[in-house]
Amino acid sequence: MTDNNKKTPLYDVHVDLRAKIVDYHGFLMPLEYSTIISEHRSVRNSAGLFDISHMGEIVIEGEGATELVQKIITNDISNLPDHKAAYSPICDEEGGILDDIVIFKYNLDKYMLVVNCGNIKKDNKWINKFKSDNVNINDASDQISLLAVQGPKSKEIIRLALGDECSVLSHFHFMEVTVGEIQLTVSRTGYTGEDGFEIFVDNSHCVDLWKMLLEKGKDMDLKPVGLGARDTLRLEAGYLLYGNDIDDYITPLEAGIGWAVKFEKTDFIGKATLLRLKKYGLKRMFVAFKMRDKGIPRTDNEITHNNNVVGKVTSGTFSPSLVIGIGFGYVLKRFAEHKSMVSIRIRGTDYPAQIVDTPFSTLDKER
Amino acid sequence: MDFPEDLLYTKTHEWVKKEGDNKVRVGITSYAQSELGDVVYIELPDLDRIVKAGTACTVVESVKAAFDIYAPVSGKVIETNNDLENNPQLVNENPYGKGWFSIIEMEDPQELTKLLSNKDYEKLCQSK
Repeated sequence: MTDNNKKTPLYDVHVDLRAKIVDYHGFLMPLEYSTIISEHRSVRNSAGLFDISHMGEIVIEGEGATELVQKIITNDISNLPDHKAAYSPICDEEGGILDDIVIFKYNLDKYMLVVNCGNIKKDNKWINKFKSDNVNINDASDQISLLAVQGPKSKEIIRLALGDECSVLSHFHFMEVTVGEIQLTVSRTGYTGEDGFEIFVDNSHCVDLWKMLLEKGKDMDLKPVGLGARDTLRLEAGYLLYGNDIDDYITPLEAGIGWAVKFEKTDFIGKATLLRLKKYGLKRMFVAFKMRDKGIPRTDNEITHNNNVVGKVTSGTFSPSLVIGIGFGYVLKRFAEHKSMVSIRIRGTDYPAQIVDTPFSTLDKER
Repeated sequence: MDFPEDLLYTKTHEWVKKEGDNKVRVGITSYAQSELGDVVYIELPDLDRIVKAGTACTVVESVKAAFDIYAPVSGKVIETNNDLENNPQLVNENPYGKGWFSIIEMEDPQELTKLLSNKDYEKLCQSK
């Protein structure tokens, strides 16, 4: 750990809670407060509170805001209502994924892009390349903190802490609200596969908000949850992680997020290449897989079929809900299409795995 | 964190308990299990395998990652803890007892003199 490491406003709170701290893309973040498995179960059974203030926020304002956002994202937000969010990759001209982000639309002239912390500078620079005079781009990442309340009890906790109106937000909708004297943006979003909320707050009120949420959620067993369980939760839910499962060398079509590429949209960066790729076909495709018995897949393990290497693991872990190894990776197209039985090569031994659909378990709850 | 007095320790966080003239029981320390987090799988060495002090002979997988565990002494593996197959969490719950890994028949009992006392090992952990 060097002095260059960034801290969120909650760093001292994490240390007081005796969290194990790790360096995550330059941020000193809590890995686990108790254990990954117990925190994972808190989120699946009751609720968990996450400090995800490392995430970046880039605010785009002005008359040309919609046009600029439409140009840089592959998804189409022309029909997105005000105060609703949408997921999209940002691609380069070659169709490679520069980042995967969530776009929050306040109105036609104001958007907030929530970006991965390792990509903040790159995204900001990229977006500025396409900026016109009627747009203002502000990287607010260092002023805005982000907390997440996730789990089946999160609705009740948000109702108690932030009021009825926030608790009845529809999936992917958001609102601005003032609680006490704290101004918040509250959304029904998350990265766990559970019902949940994310709350944007100015750094100066972040610690107060954290403490208030923990206090209000006490009777509903709300527990602080670190990045370790955030990873096992997102894997079970089937969510990609930038830097592991997707990067500049992978296109959204290969990554299984082609649904967020809207070719009917007039123009966007990467469109021509992606169209060509779609026409001529893909070589490799993203898959999720579940071990049949033993073995815990890890990043960079080879995926094999009859002793031949047919792909590579990009993320893997032990699933606390399924009590078995699960993972993501890329395989030659035909193995993905046929949902083949493959093997994962772990320390020289091939362990059988089944290609499956996500989410992995019985996580698909009503939205 | 405890550091039982009747055990010897390695810098790589294994413990050794002398059982008879040339046999030792080995496992990982309480400090090690707490650093690894939830243990979910253990790959123990095959019986009769000859291991060399300081080389990897066991793999412990926690939720986070896989970790190599080193043989604290050289010799032959004559017993392994079968309970760990279905209950890997024993390593977290009881690292010095039910969470033991294997019993090694030592090639050279003199190697024990190179290991750390509980006091020295505790100092090592505190300096981290």
